[in-house]
Formats: sequence, C-alpha cells, structure tokens
Amino acid sequence: MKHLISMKRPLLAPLLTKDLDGIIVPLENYAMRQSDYVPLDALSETVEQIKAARKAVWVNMNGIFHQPDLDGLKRAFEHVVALDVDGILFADLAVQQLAADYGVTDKLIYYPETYVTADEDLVFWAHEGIHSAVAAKEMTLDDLSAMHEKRAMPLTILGHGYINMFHSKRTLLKTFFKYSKDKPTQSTHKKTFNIVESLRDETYPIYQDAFGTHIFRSQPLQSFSVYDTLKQYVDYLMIDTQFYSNERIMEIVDDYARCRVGRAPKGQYDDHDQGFYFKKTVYAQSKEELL
Amino acid sequence: MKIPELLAPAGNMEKLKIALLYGADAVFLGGKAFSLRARASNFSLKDIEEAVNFAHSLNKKVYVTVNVFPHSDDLEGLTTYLKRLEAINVDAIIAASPAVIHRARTHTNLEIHISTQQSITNSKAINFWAERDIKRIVMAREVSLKELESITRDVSIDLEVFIHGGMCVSYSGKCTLSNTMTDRDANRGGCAHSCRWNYDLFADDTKQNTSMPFSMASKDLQSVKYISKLIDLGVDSLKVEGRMKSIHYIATVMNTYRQLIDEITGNDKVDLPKYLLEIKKAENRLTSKGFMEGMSDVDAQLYNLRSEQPTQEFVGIIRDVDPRTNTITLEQRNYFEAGDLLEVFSPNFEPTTFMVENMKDADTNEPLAVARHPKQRIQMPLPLPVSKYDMVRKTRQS
Repeated sequence: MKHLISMKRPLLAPLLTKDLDGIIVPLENYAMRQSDYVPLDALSETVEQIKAARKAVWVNMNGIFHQPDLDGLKRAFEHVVALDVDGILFADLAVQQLAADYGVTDKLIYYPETYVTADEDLVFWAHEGIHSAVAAKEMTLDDLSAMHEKRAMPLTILGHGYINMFHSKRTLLKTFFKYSKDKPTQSTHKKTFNIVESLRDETYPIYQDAFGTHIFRSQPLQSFSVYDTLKQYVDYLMIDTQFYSNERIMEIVDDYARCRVGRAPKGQYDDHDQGFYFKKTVYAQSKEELL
Repeated sequence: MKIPELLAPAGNMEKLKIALLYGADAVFLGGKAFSLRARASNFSLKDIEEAVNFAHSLNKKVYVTVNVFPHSDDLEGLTTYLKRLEAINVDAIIAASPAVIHRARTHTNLEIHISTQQSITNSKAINFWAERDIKRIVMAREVSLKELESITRDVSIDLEVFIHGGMCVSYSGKCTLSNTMTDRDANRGGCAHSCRWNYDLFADDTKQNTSMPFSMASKDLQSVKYISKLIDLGVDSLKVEGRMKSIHYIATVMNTYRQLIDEITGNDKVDLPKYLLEIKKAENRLTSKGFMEGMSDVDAQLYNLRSEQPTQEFVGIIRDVDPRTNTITLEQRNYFEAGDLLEVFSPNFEPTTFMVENMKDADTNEPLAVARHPKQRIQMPLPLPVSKYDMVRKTRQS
C-alpha cells in the first residue's frame, strides 16, 4: 500500500524527505476541500521539485465544474498534461473527457467521494481505461474487501483526515447571517466555524469557499488501527492535511511510515476515529419482495 | 416548437393515475429495492406492470428509478430485477451508479437515464454519458438557465430539468450527513434530512447564532415563470419532484404546468398571474426560483420551518358519479360544511364553484351538516360534468 499526502506549500520540502510514495498537489481553482492550493503558474516548479525527490506526483482536480468553468479547465488540464505527472484526481466527468482528448485516461484516479461503492463500479471504470478509483468514504472494511475481490483496478482510499460529509453550491453561512442579522465574529471564509446539533455532542467543521459550503465529520479518520487489514485490499492510501497543524502533519506521516514496517504509531490519536470501517449504514432493501 | 414532456412523481398507484389524468406525459416511480426514497410507498414488480399497462393505455410513459449507489453485496438480484423491468416494458430506468448502469447495459436493452444523483453540471460530463448510449441526463438542480442555454448548444442527448418541488441543499448524491449522524445511508434510500435540522453555529468557541437556530433547509423550487424559456431552449423533459406529496398536490401542480405548457406551445397569450395563483394552491412549503437565475441567495433558504403547513384547501376527491341524479360520492380530506362555497377542480374544465347543500353520509344515508371525518364518504348533488378523480377544494372566499 503506497502512501500519498495532500501537500501544503510550506511543508513540501520536509515532506519530500519522508517515507512517502507520492505527493498530491491541489491545483488552485480546480481542487476543492484542501489545506492549501498551488496556483497554475507555480505548478511546474512544484512538480519538478517532487519529481527530483523521486516521488510520484498526483495533481488534484476534484472540483465540480459548471459550464462557464470549462474553458479554464481545458487550459489548466493542458498545462497538467504537459508536466507528465503520474496521476490526476478528478470527480467531474468533464475531466475524463479532456483526458480522453489528450490520450491520458490511464493517468486518471476517479475521486467522486460518494459514487464508488461496489466492485462493479471498478469494473466499469477499468473498462474506461483509468488507473484507479477512490472508494466512497462510507465504505466498511468488508465493503473494501469486496471491492478488492475482482481486482478490476488498483483501489485508492482517503485513509486519514477530516472527511467531508456535505457539499452545497450555496453560501450557507453568508445567507444565514444575511437572514438572521446576527453578526459573525469572524470572516465567514475562515475555517474556524462549527455546527452543533442539540441531540448530538459533536462539533462539525463548516466553511464556505468558491465551490460552496462544506461540512466535515466531527472526528478525523485514522487508519493506523486497521493498517494491516487495509494493506490487503488497498493500493493507495491518501492522507488529507486539512485542519492539522504542520507539526501534527509531520507526526502523522512518520506514524504511517512506522506502520509500514510493522511498528506502532508514536502519536496520540484518541481524538480520531475509524470512520465507517466498522459502521454499516442501513439500507432498507427488501430483496424478498423483488419478484 | 418542441413540446417538452411533463414528468410527474408517482408515490403509489393512486398518485400515478392522478398525475397522468391531470396532464403528465410520463411518471417516475421507485421499486421496492434499488430505489431512493425508501419511505415512499414504492411499487412491487406487479404494481409496476399495472402502472405500465395503465400509462401505455393512455400513450404515456413510466420510468423506474434504480438510483441507489449499491455496495457490492447489494448487487445480488439486480440483474433479475432489471430483466423483469425490461419484460414489463418500462420505458426507461433512471440510474446513477456505474455498477447499475454496467449491469443494465450488459444484460438488458433498457433505456437508461442518468439520475440527478450524478449531479451533472456541464456539457462535457453530459457527452461522457452520451457516448455510452445513455439516452437522457437529469440535470443537477444547481444549473442555471444561462448555463443550460450554453449546454444545449453543445449536446444532442435528451435533457431533463427539475421545475418544481423539493431540492437537496447539497449537490445530489454528494451528501453523507445522514450516514454520519443517523447511520442511515442517504445514497441507499435512508436520507434522514439532517440538512433540515436546527443547529447552533460557533466560530471557535463563540456562539454565532444569537437570534435563531442555524439552518440549511431549502425552499421548494417553483418555475412557472421559466417554463417558456425552458421550452425555447429545447429541454426535453420538465420534471416535478415529490413522490411523498399528496394527490391534491400532484393534481394541482400537473394541471397547472400542463395548461401552461399547452398555452405556450399553442402560441396563446400566457396568463402568468393565473398560473402563479393556481400553483400556490398546492404549496405546503414556501417556494423559490432555486438556481434558475444563477446563484441562489437568502430568498431560496427556509429559515422558519413553521411556515411549512399542510394546505387546508383540499376538501375531497370524487370517487363516484351518478349521472342520472347528478350526485357525486366524495371522499373527505378536510373539514367543510353545508353552505360552504367550494370549487370543483378537474383536468377537463376550468375550476367551477358551487355551494354545498343536501349532504348525506354515503354509507349510513344520514343527513350531514358538516363533513368532519377524514376519508368519510359523502354524497351530495353536483350538476356539473364531473368525473371520477376530480377534486373539490375551498375557494379563496370560503
């Protein structure tokens, strides 16, 4: 199982010295829900720096694109293709169409967050000639095992970090303050807002940006405790760096490197959980009534 | 000028018949499995067959939602189910999951429409599916008319656009609030509508909502004033959401959009205020223009859920007509009394008012002064050319 991490620019140099297989470069205006973004005009330098350290480069372009975005997307994609990166993360099928035009579908990693849920999704995408797909965030370990069974293509997961659970195009913080006339004590573009539901003692991070409003799970996901199981099914484990301090990010990277060689993590992860690995969500299916 | 299809939700057989009789060209419905809206009164295969036969007898269509994102072990029985749908002769399935689409393409010749759960927002994504023999895309609700105008220039596949009803506040198919907060998988029919709950909002540790709870709920979509533009753009299907809504809602919404579409495509002078007034009679939730004019704003959000009140206008549905005596049998849905001025609402003629008199209980023959019991069967004279499934509602004066 290879380890990749979404980069923050101030951390790139130290990350390149770590036991990581690849760096995920979030492309400004085309990637969303990232801890930092690399502008298009700085992409070439960043990619070269990563390549020089002999690590894989995945460029993240996981945005949802509307019709007016397509011209810019095409120009950005051309630029990415010219840099001969190892992988391109995407969620919008417009990116697949561009990759087909440029003959680079084999570099694509499909990352729609909720749509890759079954082994036959991987069969579908394997037929399309893409490299890998990222399993939906609500997959159990059993689901991941089942997805791996057909070995249709390499399987990727987001294995560590704050997992998004909601994305609206609407600017929900802005409209709330506009309606309620309450005055926010901080800019609504800061990543310091949380929502709390009265029956649940949980705090969900919420922020808005150019892609809309995003809400995250209360506790970040960790995969240390299931690492040995995951490595049987999963080819690429992605580490997300949103909401973490720089020191904490470096600690997490070191701890996954320890797991890789059979050692326990040094850091404390009591404030993390195991996401959906053991949490089967309900489906009111009634197969006996099918016929 | 192309006349777009008017597509209605069908939560059960009665709603399906009402939708088709009141002007829908097609209905969409969910089966017992592989469909979202698990709490709707979904159809068994036998029901679907009856629905298809009924719709086809009127030269209308039935689409079946197979729009879950199944996990691997949910796929058991899917091929058999799809083959049965094909044998029943449904007109299309509406799917979102590549696994479902792969099965349908491999094992059947079913026509496939891509569900709005895929949140398709641009022409390139549409063309991805067009190149894979998909016949229709249900557009994301976040797409504006201006964007749609550009999209229609770049694609040749059928486009279906939501014109009325509830809206996910999230991009559809992208939300796992329900999974996280209630262990119910939104993408497998278990959505708990956590986006409609009340929350407190904090910045760091400081509470930000001092006057009211923080809420994300959206008003319903209402598109009466945009239908003309959608027809000009050549949109193929105009979709109304609401498999859980009442028969009165379905009838009112279908009848309104049917008449509006016919008036526009018949080059008649369009009386928009009339349609805006008429569609309001179906409202049980505030409405907005959604994303039709671009980015939605505060007027599209629903901050006061107390505004969500079931309409009291609908008083009953005509279950039987005796043309010899001009007597109807009405099934009661809301309180009314002798002397009330009511209105018959029919797909066959303009709304017509009448005064309630000489009511009696259809089962006991007892004279009645008031109709107070839901589902009570009431007989009364009504000398109008009414039919079974016509509805009776209060007038604005009553």
